Amino acid sequence: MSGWRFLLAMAGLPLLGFPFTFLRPLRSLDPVARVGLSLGIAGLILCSEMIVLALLGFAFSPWFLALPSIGCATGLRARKSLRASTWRPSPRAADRAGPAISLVLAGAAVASLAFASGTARITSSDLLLVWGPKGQQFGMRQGIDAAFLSNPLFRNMNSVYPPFLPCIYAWATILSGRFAWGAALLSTPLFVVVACLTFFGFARPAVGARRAGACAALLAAILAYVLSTSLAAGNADSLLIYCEVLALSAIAFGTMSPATLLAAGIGLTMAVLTKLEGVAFAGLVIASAFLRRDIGPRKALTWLVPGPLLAFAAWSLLARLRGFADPGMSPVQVKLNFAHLDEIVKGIYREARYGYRFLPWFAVLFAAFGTRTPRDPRRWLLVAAAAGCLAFMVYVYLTSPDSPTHWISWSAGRLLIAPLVCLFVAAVAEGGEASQESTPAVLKF
Amino acid sequence: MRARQAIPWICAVALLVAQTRLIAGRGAFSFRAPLTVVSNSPQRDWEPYLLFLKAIGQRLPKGSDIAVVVPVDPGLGMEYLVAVGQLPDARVLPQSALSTPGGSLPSWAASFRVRLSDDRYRLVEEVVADGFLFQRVP
Repeated sequence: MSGWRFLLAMAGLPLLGFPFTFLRPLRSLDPVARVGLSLGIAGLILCSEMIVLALLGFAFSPWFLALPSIGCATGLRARKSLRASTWRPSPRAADRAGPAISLVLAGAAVASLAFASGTARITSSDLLLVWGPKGQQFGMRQGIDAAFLSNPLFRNMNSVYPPFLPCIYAWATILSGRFAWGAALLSTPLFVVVACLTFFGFARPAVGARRAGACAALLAAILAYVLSTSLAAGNADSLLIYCEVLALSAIAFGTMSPATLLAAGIGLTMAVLTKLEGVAFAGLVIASAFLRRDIGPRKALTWLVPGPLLAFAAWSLLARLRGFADPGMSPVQVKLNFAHLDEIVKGIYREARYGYRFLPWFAVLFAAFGTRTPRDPRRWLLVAAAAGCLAFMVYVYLTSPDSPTHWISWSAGRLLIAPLVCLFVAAVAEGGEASQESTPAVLKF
Repeated sequence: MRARQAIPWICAVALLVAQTRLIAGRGAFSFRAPLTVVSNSPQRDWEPYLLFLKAIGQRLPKGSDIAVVVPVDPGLGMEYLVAVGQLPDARVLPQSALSTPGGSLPSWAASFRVRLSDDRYRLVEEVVADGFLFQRVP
């Protein structure tokens, strides 16, 4: 029974984030995008509160998340003018809903992933070694347990790794009474569903419901397959994918209004708090945003930089103050070993096959054929971000003092998902149309 | 226009076929809950150890301290970290706690695929095949 409660606690997180999507400027977004964004908002509040409380030395209570949400919902109810969505469907979004085939395919992909996860077919020991124990401990101690993270006995649990998924697991553990290992496996299809909804919600105004639905179904199938082959059930990879899809969809399909840039900023902030490769991803996307004419340095500095920077600084400060920072991970102190470079390149190439002849990469390539604006220069910045993610992978493996072959076979399949998602969004991206509402530049209640 | 939808659909179907093959290759289709979280995965080597820890967890009083002894990895490696996660109500100490001079001995010890021979502990039960629970002699 507590397994169901654990699952419901995770699945219920978007409900707590949804009231915030009625605030300006987010309420001008497509309703489906707002549903997708809700998980990010709730998760970000949860994780931020846990970090701040750990800095102050206080325990977390579920009310800390529920009260702001209830307060926001009550405020919106009192001010009727604010609670209505200002979203107006663009001509493309208003076209007939995509055929049922897209929905059936997306449903089949998610169902197959849920079946594979739930029947313990795609579990890796990372869940047993890192994500599960941390989430369980945070839940039992009602917050980020700095004493646990700084204990030298648990050094191999990668204490300094960002805490987003363990915080979500802690939330579910607090509400359900215990950490449910079986239910934790199902977090993977849950995050994939939200990622696909988010993608659909941002793509629909730009490319129409039919094309957005077809591409969302393809995204679901790609993610189900690569997460299954790379054994990612219960790990943070699916959560990172959700963050990446949110940030990239908002930037690729959005109108570069404050609403879409704020959504992208939320995605990047979450990515920084989810995994170390999320930090590299955020850096690459921000760099590409600086170069884009429709975003530029001013908008990027206003909307995309502060969140990830604050998140990274807060987590680093907590690690330093509570004694679980790993000085060996500092880029200044890392020594690169080029003796195994050929092994690294061959290893990444081998893992990129994903078990069956590079199938997901070809799917991305074929998806690009359906786009209306194949020569849009903005998509090349996403391709550059994908190349940057690949370069980061090579850098990570170059830090290995010994042969990284085993490490690559263990992790490259999961690390390759970030460039795959970048390329997918680049392949199907088409510029967004201006929303009918002129959105304000300042977040107002 | 139709190709805009058809190409993603065809690719999705191809991926679903590959996904189905992958799932089918990892055991018979069944909706019964697996014994452990790794039971059908390529990491199923962990299954006996997880079942052993589950059995230990069911017998151990809450708040106890325990050292888990395994034939390989006497240090702070994977077996130790897995035990920490699987025995949340206990304080799990590394195997070296049994041999540290002057250190406080844990009240309990568990050994997996190796028989602990230590006069300071008595055998309580063989909880699973080749998995034993010991208690410190008063």
